Amino acid sequence: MAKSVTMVVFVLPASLRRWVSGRTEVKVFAVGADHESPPTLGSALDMLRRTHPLLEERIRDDYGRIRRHISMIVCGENSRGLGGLDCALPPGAEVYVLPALA
Amino acid sequence: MTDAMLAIGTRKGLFLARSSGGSAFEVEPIQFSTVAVHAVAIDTRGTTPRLLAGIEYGHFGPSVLYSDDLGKTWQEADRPPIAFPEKTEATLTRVWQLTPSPSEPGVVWAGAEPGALFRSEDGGVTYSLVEGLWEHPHRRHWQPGGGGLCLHTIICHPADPRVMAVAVSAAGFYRTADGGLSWEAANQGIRAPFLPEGQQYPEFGQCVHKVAMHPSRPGRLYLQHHFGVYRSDDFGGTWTDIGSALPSDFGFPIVTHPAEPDSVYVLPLHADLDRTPVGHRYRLYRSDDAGGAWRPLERGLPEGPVYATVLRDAMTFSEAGLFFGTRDGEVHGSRDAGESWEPIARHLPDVLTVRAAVL
Repeated sequence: MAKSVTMVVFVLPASLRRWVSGRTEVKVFAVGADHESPPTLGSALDMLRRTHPLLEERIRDDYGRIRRHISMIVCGENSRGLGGLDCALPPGAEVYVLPALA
Repeated sequence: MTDAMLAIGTRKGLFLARSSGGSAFEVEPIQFSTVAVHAVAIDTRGTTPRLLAGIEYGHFGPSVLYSDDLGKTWQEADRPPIAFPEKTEATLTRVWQLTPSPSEPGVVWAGAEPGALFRSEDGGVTYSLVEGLWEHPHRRHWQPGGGGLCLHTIICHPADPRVMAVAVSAAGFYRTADGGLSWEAANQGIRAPFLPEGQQYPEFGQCVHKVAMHPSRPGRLYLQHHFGVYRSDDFGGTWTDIGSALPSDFGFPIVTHPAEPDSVYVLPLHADLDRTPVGHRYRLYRSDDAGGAWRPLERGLPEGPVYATVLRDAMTFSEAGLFFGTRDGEVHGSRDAGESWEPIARHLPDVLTVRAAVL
Protein backbone atom coordinates (compact mmCIF):
# COMPACT_ATOMS: atom_id res chain seq x y z
CA MET A 1 0.00 0.00 0.00
CA ALA A 2 1.38 3.42 -0.90
CA LYS A 3 2.31 5.86 1.81
CA SER A 4 0.21 8.97 2.26
CA VAL A 5 1.56 12.06 0.57
CA THR A 6 0.56 15.70 0.75
CA MET A 7 1.90 18.95 -0.52
CA VAL A 8 2.99 21.38 2.19
CA VAL A 9 3.64 25.07 1.74
CA PHE A 10 6.23 26.71 3.99
CA VAL A 11 5.54 30.44 4.16
CA LEU A 12 8.77 32.25 4.92
CA PRO A 13 9.59 35.50 6.71
CA ALA A 14 11.81 38.01 4.96
CA SER A 15 14.78 37.03 7.08
CA LEU A 16 14.79 33.47 5.69
CA ARG A 17 14.29 34.27 2.03
CA ARG A 18 17.97 34.79 1.31
CA TRP A 19 18.40 31.00 1.25
CA VAL A 20 15.72 30.49 -1.42
CA SER A 21 16.58 33.26 -3.87
CA GLY A 22 14.08 35.65 -2.36
CA ARG A 23 11.03 33.42 -2.64
CA THR A 24 8.24 33.95 -0.13
CA GLU A 25 7.24 30.30 0.08
CA VAL A 26 8.57 26.85 -0.63
CA LYS A 27 6.51 23.77 -1.48
CA VAL A 28 7.48 20.20 -0.68
CA PHE A 29 5.75 16.84 -0.78
CA ALA A 30 5.63 15.35 2.70
CA VAL A 31 5.36 11.59 3.09
CA GLY A 32 3.60 9.74 5.91
CA ALA A 33 4.97 6.67 7.64
CA ASP A 34 2.35 4.45 5.94
CA HIS A 35 -0.90 4.76 4.00
CA GLU A 36 -2.93 5.40 7.15
CA SER A 37 -0.64 7.90 8.85
CA PRO A 38 -0.79 11.49 7.62
CA PRO A 39 2.49 13.25 6.95
CA THR A 40 3.80 15.19 9.92
CA LEU A 41 5.61 18.47 10.34
CA GLY A 42 8.75 16.43 10.98
CA SER A 43 8.40 14.52 7.71
CA ALA A 44 7.81 17.78 5.85
CA LEU A 45 10.98 19.23 7.34
CA ASP A 46 12.85 16.04 6.49
CA MET A 47 11.83 16.58 2.88
CA LEU A 48 12.81 20.24 3.11
CA ARG A 49 16.25 19.10 4.25
CA ARG A 50 16.56 17.14 1.02
CA THR A 51 15.30 19.87 -1.28
CA HIS A 52 16.55 23.01 0.51
CA PRO A 53 19.24 21.93 3.01
CA LEU A 54 20.51 25.43 3.81
CA LEU A 55 17.00 26.69 4.55
CA GLU A 56 16.17 23.69 6.72
CA GLU A 57 19.44 24.15 8.63
CA ARG A 58 18.27 27.62 9.64
CA ILE A 59 14.96 26.26 10.95
CA ARG A 60 16.20 23.16 12.75
CA ASP A 61 19.47 22.53 14.57
CA ASP A 62 21.92 19.72 13.86
CA TYR A 63 19.91 17.39 16.02
CA GLY A 64 16.68 17.97 14.16
CA ARG A 65 15.01 20.16 16.78
CA ILE A 66 13.17 23.29 15.74
CA ARG A 67 15.39 26.16 16.84
CA ARG A 68 14.39 27.69 20.12
CA HIS A 69 13.31 31.09 18.84
CA ILE A 70 11.35 29.83 15.84
CA SER A 71 7.68 28.92 15.86
CA MET A 72 5.94 26.87 13.18
CA ILE A 73 2.32 27.85 12.74
CA VAL A 74 0.26 25.01 11.27
CA CYS A 75 -3.25 25.93 10.14
CA GLY A 76 -3.26 28.86 12.54
CA GLU A 77 -1.88 27.10 15.60
CA ASN A 78 1.60 26.87 17.03
CA SER A 79 2.92 23.39 16.34
CA ARG A 80 4.37 23.23 19.86
CA GLY A 81 0.81 22.79 21.09
CA LEU A 82 0.02 20.20 18.41
CA GLY A 83 2.72 17.67 19.12
CA GLY A 84 5.70 19.54 17.72
CA LEU A 85 7.40 17.59 14.95
CA ASP A 86 4.70 14.89 15.28
CA CYS A 87 1.97 17.38 14.39
CA ALA A 88 -0.16 15.88 11.61
CA LEU A 89 -0.47 17.93 8.43
CA PRO A 90 -3.73 18.07 6.48
CA PRO A 91 -3.59 18.06 2.67
CA GLY A 92 -2.24 21.32 1.33
CA ALA A 93 -1.18 22.50 4.77
CA GLU A 94 0.32 25.94 5.07
CA VAL A 95 3.13 26.19 7.61
CA TYR A 96 4.12 29.70 8.59
CA VAL A 97 7.69 30.01 9.86
CA LEU A 98 7.83 32.75 12.48
CA PRO A 99 11.04 33.87 14.17
CA ALA A 100 10.61 35.49 17.56
CA LEU A 101 10.55 39.26 17.63
CA ALA A 102 13.09 41.06 19.77
CA MET B 1 53.30 49.11 -2.91
CA THR B 2 51.93 47.02 -0.09
CA ASP B 3 48.22 46.52 0.34
CA ALA B 4 46.87 45.48 3.69
CA MET B 5 43.44 44.37 4.81
CA LEU B 6 41.78 44.48 8.17
CA ALA B 7 38.73 42.32 8.91
CA ILE B 8 36.65 43.45 11.87
CA GLY B 9 33.90 41.16 13.10
CA THR B 10 31.32 42.82 15.31
CA ARG B 11 28.12 41.95 17.11
CA LYS B 12 26.13 43.42 14.23
CA GLY B 13 28.14 42.89 11.10
CA LEU B 14 31.48 42.73 9.35
CA PHE B 15 33.67 45.65 8.41
CA LEU B 16 36.62 45.43 6.04
CA ALA B 17 39.29 48.12 5.92
CA ARG B 18 41.94 48.55 3.26
CA SER B 19 45.25 50.34 3.20
CA SER B 20 47.36 50.85 0.11
CA GLY B 21 51.05 51.66 0.21
CA GLY B 22 51.04 52.54 3.87
CA SER B 23 48.12 54.91 3.63
CA ALA B 24 45.51 55.18 6.37
CA PHE B 25 43.01 52.36 6.55
CA GLU B 26 39.69 53.14 4.94
CA VAL B 27 36.76 51.32 6.46
CA GLU B 28 34.24 49.98 3.96
CA PRO B 29 30.47 49.91 4.53
CA ILE B 30 28.97 47.32 6.84
CA GLN B 31 28.33 43.80 5.57
CA PHE B 32 25.96 41.25 7.13
CA SER B 33 24.15 43.99 9.03
CA THR B 34 22.63 42.74 12.31
CA VAL B 35 24.45 39.40 11.93
CA ALA B 36 27.10 38.63 14.55
CA VAL B 37 30.54 37.84 13.15
CA HIS B 38 32.45 35.92 15.77
CA ALA B 39 35.38 34.65 13.72
CA VAL B 40 37.21 35.90 10.65
CA ALA B 41 40.28 34.75 8.76
CA ILE B 42 42.24 36.19 5.88
CA ASP B 43 43.76 33.21 4.10
CA THR B 44 46.66 34.44 1.98
CA ARG B 45 48.14 31.02 1.18
CA GLY B 46 46.75 30.77 -2.33
CA THR B 47 47.16 32.97 -5.37
CA THR B 48 43.82 34.57 -4.53
CA PRO B 49 43.23 35.58 -0.91
CA ARG B 50 40.15 33.99 0.65
CA LEU B 51 38.17 35.60 3.43
CA LEU B 52 36.34 33.38 5.90
CA ALA B 53 33.65 34.50 8.31
CA GLY B 54 32.08 32.52 11.12
CA ILE B 55 28.71 34.16 11.59
CA GLU B 56 25.59 33.78 13.67
CA TYR B 57 22.24 34.49 12.07
CA GLY B 58 20.48 35.31 15.32
CA HIS B 59 17.56 32.89 15.68
CA PHE B 60 18.72 30.88 12.66
CA GLY B 61 22.01 29.59 13.99
CA PRO B 62 25.65 29.75 12.94
CA SER B 63 27.39 29.20 9.62
CA VAL B 64 30.62 29.88 7.73
CA LEU B 65 30.82 32.02 4.62
CA TYR B 66 33.74 32.60 2.28
CA SER B 67 34.74 35.22 -0.26
CA ASP B 68 37.30 34.94 -3.03
CA ASP B 69 37.00 38.57 -4.17
CA LEU B 70 38.04 40.33 -0.96
CA GLY B 71 34.52 40.68 0.34
CA LYS B 72 32.64 41.88 -2.73
CA THR B 73 30.57 38.68 -2.76
CA TRP B 74 30.18 35.85 -0.27
CA GLN B 75 29.32 32.20 -0.72
CA GLU B 76 28.05 29.48 1.56
CA ALA B 77 28.47 25.75 1.00
CA ASP B 78 25.47 23.97 -0.51
CA ARG B 79 25.18 21.97 2.69
CA PRO B 80 25.65 23.11 6.30
CA PRO B 81 29.38 23.83 6.44
CA ILE B 82 29.86 22.81 10.06
CA ALA B 83 27.57 20.22 11.59
CA PHE B 84 27.98 17.67 14.33
CA PRO B 85 27.43 14.04 13.33
CA GLU B 86 24.04 12.85 14.55
CA LYS B 87 25.61 10.29 16.87
CA THR B 88 27.12 13.10 18.97
CA GLU B 89 23.66 14.48 19.82
CA ALA B 90 25.34 17.88 19.85
CA THR B 91 24.27 21.11 18.21
CA LEU B 92 26.60 23.72 16.82
CA THR B 93 26.16 26.85 18.89
CA ARG B 94 28.89 29.11 17.54
CA VAL B 95 32.02 29.18 15.41
CA TRP B 96 34.70 30.81 17.54
CA GLN B 97 37.81 30.44 15.47
CA LEU B 98 38.91 29.93 11.86
CA THR B 99 42.58 29.11 11.33
CA PRO B 100 44.18 28.26 7.98
CA SER B 101 46.85 25.61 8.41
CA PRO B 102 50.36 26.93 7.80
CA SER B 103 51.62 23.50 6.71
CA GLU B 104 48.79 21.88 4.76
CA PRO B 105 47.40 23.64 1.67
CA GLY B 106 43.63 23.73 1.65
CA VAL B 107 43.28 22.80 5.30
CA VAL B 108 41.39 25.17 7.60
CA TRP B 109 40.62 24.47 11.24
CA ALA B 110 37.50 25.69 13.00
CA GLY B 111 37.01 25.99 16.73
CA ALA B 112 33.40 25.53 17.76
CA GLU B 113 31.05 25.61 20.67
CA PRO B 114 30.34 23.28 22.40
CA GLY B 115 34.05 22.41 22.78
CA ALA B 116 34.86 20.92 19.40
CA LEU B 117 37.44 21.14 16.64
CA PHE B 118 36.55 20.78 12.97
CA ARG B 119 38.81 20.30 9.95
CA SER B 120 38.23 21.48 6.41
CA GLU B 121 40.17 20.14 3.45
CA ASP B 122 38.51 22.34 0.84
CA GLY B 123 39.79 25.70 1.93
CA GLY B 124 37.20 26.33 4.61
CA VAL B 125 34.01 25.59 2.67
CA THR B 126 32.95 22.41 4.53
CA TYR B 127 34.25 20.84 7.72
CA SER B 128 34.33 17.51 9.56
CA LEU B 129 34.47 16.90 13.30
CA VAL B 130 37.87 15.94 14.73
CA GLU B 131 36.69 12.90 16.59
CA GLY B 132 39.93 12.33 18.48
CA LEU B 133 39.31 15.42 20.58
CA TRP B 134 35.56 14.90 20.80
CA GLU B 135 36.11 11.40 22.19
CA HIS B 136 38.67 12.53 24.76
CA PRO B 137 37.66 11.14 28.18
CA HIS B 138 38.01 14.58 29.77
CA ARG B 139 35.43 16.16 27.50
CA ARG B 140 32.33 15.09 29.38
CA HIS B 141 33.80 16.74 32.47
CA TRP B 142 34.52 20.06 30.79
CA GLN B 143 32.65 23.02 32.23
CA PRO B 144 31.82 26.11 30.19
CA GLY B 145 33.36 29.47 31.01
CA GLY B 146 31.34 32.66 31.05
CA GLY B 147 31.40 32.77 27.25
CA GLY B 148 30.26 29.19 26.84
CA LEU B 149 32.17 25.97 26.24
CA CYS B 150 34.15 27.55 23.48
CA LEU B 151 37.14 26.20 21.61
CA HIS B 152 38.60 29.61 20.95
CA THR B 153 42.26 29.00 20.20
CA ILE B 154 43.92 26.83 17.56
CA ILE B 155 47.70 26.63 17.51
CA CYS B 156 49.35 25.03 14.46
CA HIS B 157 53.02 24.12 14.22
CA PRO B 158 54.31 26.11 11.23
CA ALA B 159 55.87 23.10 9.48
CA ASP B 160 54.65 19.87 11.08
CA PRO B 161 50.93 19.21 10.53
CA ARG B 162 50.95 16.51 13.17
CA VAL B 163 51.67 19.00 15.93
CA MET B 164 48.93 21.35 17.05
CA ALA B 165 47.06 22.48 20.14
CA VAL B 166 43.76 24.00 21.18
CA ALA B 167 42.42 25.88 24.15
CA VAL B 168 38.90 25.56 25.52
CA SER B 169 37.24 27.64 28.23
CA ALA B 170 37.12 26.38 30.88
CA ALA B 171 38.76 23.07 30.06
CA GLY B 172 42.33 24.19 29.45
CA PHE B 173 45.05 23.60 26.90
CA TYR B 174 45.28 20.36 24.90
CA ARG B 175 47.90 19.28 22.39
CA THR B 176 48.36 16.55 19.82
CA ALA B 177 51.42 15.14 18.08
CA ASP B 178 49.60 12.87 15.63
CA GLY B 179 47.45 15.27 13.68
CA GLY B 180 44.50 15.18 16.04
CA LEU B 181 44.03 11.44 16.54
CA SER B 182 44.99 11.65 20.22
CA TRP B 183 45.20 14.59 22.60
CA GLU B 184 46.67 15.26 26.02
CA ALA B 185 45.94 17.97 28.54
CA ALA B 186 48.95 20.29 28.90
CA ASN B 187 48.22 22.60 31.82
CA GLN B 188 51.04 21.83 34.24
CA GLY B 189 51.92 24.94 36.20
CA ILE B 190 48.76 26.92 35.40
CA ARG B 191 47.03 27.88 38.62
CA ALA B 192 43.24 27.95 38.70
CA PRO B 193 42.65 30.42 41.55
CA PHE B 194 38.89 30.01 41.28
CA LEU B 195 39.15 26.41 42.57
CA PRO B 196 39.38 25.48 46.27
CA GLU B 197 42.79 25.58 47.91
CA GLY B 198 44.68 22.36 47.43
CA GLN B 199 42.96 21.80 44.07
CA GLN B 200 44.28 24.79 42.18
CA TYR B 201 46.63 22.91 39.85
CA PRO B 202 44.30 20.38 38.21
CA GLU B 203 45.17 18.28 35.17
CA PHE B 204 42.47 20.19 33.30
CA GLY B 205 39.72 22.69 34.05
CA GLN B 206 41.80 25.85 33.67
CA CYS B 207 40.02 28.88 32.24
CA VAL B 208 42.44 29.67 29.44
CA HIS B 209 41.44 32.92 27.76
CA LYS B 210 43.87 32.91 24.82
CA VAL B 211 47.18 31.39 23.70
CA ALA B 212 49.69 32.71 21.18
CA MET B 213 52.58 30.90 19.52
CA HIS B 214 55.58 32.43 17.87
CA PRO B 215 56.01 30.84 14.42
CA SER B 216 59.80 31.08 14.40
CA ARG B 217 60.05 29.25 17.71
CA PRO B 218 57.09 26.86 17.80
CA GLY B 219 57.80 25.59 21.31
CA ARG B 220 57.35 29.12 22.66
CA LEU B 221 53.79 29.80 23.77
CA TYR B 222 52.23 32.64 25.72
CA LEU B 223 48.97 32.17 27.57
CA GLN B 224 46.50 34.59 29.14
CA HIS B 225 44.59 32.82 31.88
CA HIS B 226 41.68 33.85 34.08
CA PHE B 227 44.15 35.51 36.44
CA GLY B 228 47.66 34.72 35.31
CA VAL B 229 49.90 35.21 32.30
CA TYR B 230 52.15 32.27 31.42
CA ARG B 231 54.91 31.20 29.08
CA SER B 232 55.88 27.75 27.89
CA ASP B 233 59.08 26.91 26.06
CA ASP B 234 58.18 23.27 25.40
CA PHE B 235 54.83 23.57 23.61
CA GLY B 236 52.82 23.42 26.78
CA GLY B 237 54.75 20.73 28.64
CA THR B 238 55.22 23.13 31.53
CA TRP B 239 54.08 26.69 32.13
CA THR B 240 55.80 29.53 34.01
CA ASP B 241 54.01 32.52 35.48
CA ILE B 242 55.19 35.73 33.81
CA GLY B 243 52.45 38.04 35.02
CA SER B 244 53.74 39.18 38.38
CA ALA B 245 55.18 42.46 37.06
CA LEU B 246 51.96 43.47 35.33
CA PRO B 247 49.52 45.87 36.98
CA SER B 248 46.93 43.10 36.63
CA ASP B 249 47.28 39.58 35.32
CA PHE B 250 43.61 39.39 34.30
CA GLY B 251 42.69 39.96 30.69
CA PHE B 252 41.74 38.22 27.47
CA PRO B 253 43.91 38.82 24.38
CA ILE B 254 47.60 37.96 24.08
CA VAL B 255 49.71 38.29 20.92
CA THR B 256 53.34 37.96 19.91
CA HIS B 257 55.48 40.16 17.71
CA PRO B 258 55.62 38.48 14.26
CA ALA B 259 59.41 38.87 14.07
CA GLU B 260 60.50 38.74 17.71
CA PRO B 261 59.65 35.63 19.73
CA ASP B 262 60.59 37.30 23.02
CA SER B 263 58.09 40.12 22.51
CA VAL B 264 54.58 39.60 23.83
CA TYR B 265 51.62 41.92 24.36
CA VAL B 266 48.63 41.86 26.71
CA LEU B 267 45.86 44.29 27.58
CA PRO B 268 45.16 43.96 31.31
CA LEU B 269 41.78 44.50 32.91
CA HIS B 270 41.38 45.28 36.58
CA ALA B 271 39.88 41.93 37.63
CA ASP B 272 37.21 39.39 36.75
CA LEU B 273 34.69 41.36 38.79
CA ASP B 274 35.87 44.66 37.30
CA ARG B 275 36.36 44.05 33.61
CA THR B 276 37.55 47.51 32.74
CA PRO B 277 41.00 48.42 31.40
CA VAL B 278 43.60 49.09 34.06
CA GLY B 279 43.57 52.78 34.91
CA HIS B 280 40.52 53.12 32.70
CA ARG B 281 42.75 53.56 29.67
CA TYR B 282 43.25 51.34 26.66
CA ARG B 283 46.83 50.51 27.46
CA LEU B 284 48.77 47.53 26.17
CA TYR B 285 51.70 46.10 28.06
CA ARG B 286 54.70 44.83 26.15
CA SER B 287 57.51 42.59 27.27
CA ASP B 288 60.65 42.17 25.19
CA ASP B 289 62.23 39.54 27.39
CA ALA B 290 59.55 36.87 27.22
CA GLY B 291 57.66 38.14 30.22
CA GLY B 292 60.35 39.33 32.63
CA ALA B 293 59.67 43.06 32.44
CA TRP B 294 56.66 44.87 31.04
CA ARG B 295 56.12 48.44 29.91
CA PRO B 296 52.92 50.25 28.97
CA LEU B 297 52.08 51.38 25.44
CA GLU B 298 49.55 54.17 25.18
CA ARG B 299 50.82 56.95 22.90
CA GLY B 300 47.99 57.92 20.59
CA LEU B 301 45.36 55.92 22.43
CA PRO B 302 42.36 57.68 24.04
CA GLU B 303 43.20 59.38 27.32
CA GLY B 304 39.96 58.07 28.72
CA PRO B 305 38.41 57.28 30.97
CA VAL B 306 37.31 54.19 29.04
CA TYR B 307 35.41 51.26 30.41
CA ALA B 308 34.96 48.76 27.59
CA THR B 309 36.91 45.55 27.30
CA VAL B 310 38.95 44.05 24.49
CA LEU B 311 37.83 40.52 23.76
CA ARG B 312 40.16 37.56 23.32
CA ASP B 313 40.16 37.65 19.52
CA ALA B 314 39.93 41.39 19.13
CA MET B 315 43.70 41.94 19.12
CA THR B 316 46.05 40.79 16.37
CA PHE B 317 49.63 41.35 15.27
CA SER B 318 50.79 40.46 11.77
CA GLU B 319 53.08 41.92 9.12
CA ALA B 320 50.27 44.42 8.50
CA GLY B 321 50.60 45.86 11.99
CA LEU B 322 49.26 45.62 15.53
CA PHE B 323 45.52 46.21 15.95
CA PHE B 324 42.82 45.93 18.56
CA GLY B 325 39.10 46.58 18.71
CA THR B 326 36.97 47.36 21.72
CA ARG B 327 33.49 46.54 22.90
CA ASP B 328 32.55 50.19 22.50
CA GLY B 329 33.28 49.99 18.80
CA GLU B 330 36.71 51.52 18.46
CA VAL B 331 39.56 50.07 16.42
CA HIS B 332 43.12 51.26 16.88
CA GLY B 333 46.22 50.38 14.90
CA SER B 334 49.96 50.70 15.21
CA ARG B 335 52.59 50.36 12.50
CA ASP B 336 55.54 50.56 14.91
CA ALA B 337 54.83 47.57 17.11
CA GLY B 338 52.69 49.49 19.55
CA GLU B 339 54.90 52.50 20.26
CA SER B 340 52.35 54.86 18.70
CA TRP B 341 48.72 54.42 17.73
CA GLU B 342 46.19 55.83 15.32
CA PRO B 343 42.42 55.45 15.39
CA ILE B 344 41.02 53.42 12.51
CA ALA B 345 37.32 53.28 13.33
CA ARG B 346 34.89 54.59 15.91
CA HIS B 347 31.24 53.97 16.72
CA LEU B 348 31.14 50.46 15.31
CA PRO B 349 29.07 47.80 17.04
CA ASP B 350 31.05 45.99 19.73
CA VAL B 351 34.10 44.40 18.21
CA LEU B 352 34.34 40.62 18.55
CA THR B 353 37.34 39.80 16.39
CA VAL B 354 40.05 41.53 14.38
CA ARG B 355 42.41 39.99 11.83
CA ALA B 356 44.91 41.69 9.51
CA ALA B 357 47.04 40.61 6.58
CA VAL B 358 49.29 41.95 3.89
CA LEU B 359 47.73 41.07 0.55
